[in-house]
Amino acid sequence: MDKKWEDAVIRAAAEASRLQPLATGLFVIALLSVLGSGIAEPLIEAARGERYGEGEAFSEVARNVLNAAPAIALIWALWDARAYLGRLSRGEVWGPATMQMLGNVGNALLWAGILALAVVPTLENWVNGSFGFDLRIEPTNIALVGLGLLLSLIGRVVRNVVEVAASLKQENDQIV
Amino acid sequence: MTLVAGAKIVDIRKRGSENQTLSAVAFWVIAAGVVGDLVVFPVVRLVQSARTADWSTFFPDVLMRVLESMPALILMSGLWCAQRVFGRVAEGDVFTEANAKDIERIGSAMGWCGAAVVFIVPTAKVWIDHSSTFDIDLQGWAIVLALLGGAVALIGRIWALAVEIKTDADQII
Repeated sequence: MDKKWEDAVIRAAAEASRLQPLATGLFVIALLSVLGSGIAEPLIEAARGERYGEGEAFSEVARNVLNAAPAIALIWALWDARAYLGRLSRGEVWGPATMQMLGNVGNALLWAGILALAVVPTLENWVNGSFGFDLRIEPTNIALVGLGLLLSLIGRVVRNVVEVAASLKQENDQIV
Repeated sequence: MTLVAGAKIVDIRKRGSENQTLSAVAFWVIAAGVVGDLVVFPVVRLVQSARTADWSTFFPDVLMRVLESMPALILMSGLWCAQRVFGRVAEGDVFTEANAKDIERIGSAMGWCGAAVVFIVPTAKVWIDHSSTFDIDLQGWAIVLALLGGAVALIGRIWALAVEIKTDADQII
């Protein structure tokens, strides 16, 4: 049985080490994309006097950051996932990172959904000079909120499952 | 099995039954919202303007809405799996292969949702317009979502590993 566990842990570690560089690469690309096209580009174009005046450039940056807010929430989770995959690739299966991972992803989906559904459209209104609340009710946003909520809740169950498995594994190792 | 492990399992069941109703309600409310947006609202609009309605555009309209909502529908399958996990946990079936598989399916749903946003939906739209090329809509959030799905699927495999450990511990007893 020990051999079987070790094989399963090795398989999970191998998969994690395949996913980790992908997560790191994607994290860097996503961050550069938000910083580059969302923030730097309008400011550079304003400095050159090409497309925007100074005030317009700041409004454009605010709009871009707002639109990117749901993606930023997911990028945040990607940073967590990257760190978790690193630990998993080193064989740390029953550690606190495994307990927290699913809850963190769930929270990120929940925030991404809420931002896309209510916060971004409302703040966009405010940036554009009109006041009042706005909702962008789209099926994908609603499903993101729902899945995020349930994943956060399942994350709590996973925490307990991992704790039980860790204590049983320890007990079994002592018997062997 | 240690007392600590036994107490934790009781805790898991309690958590499962607390969240079972919430997860079922969340699923059905969201399902009703998505189906309403896809089918009911177009029908209501057509019925309201029955005399001048153009029924020939109704089905293509609904088809296009279904296509555009494909990412949401795929995420809904993840929601369905999540509420099934709570249902089983509430009944005391915590360490089961079915739960591990459902967590993996949630991860897959996130992956497929990303693929649908980036590739499947844009390409299908191009094909509906009678072109036979492929199209890509590189949306950062969808690509990140797909990768996060991979991490969630890994948690599913770790759950499966926990099932093996629990089965083994039960056999020792």
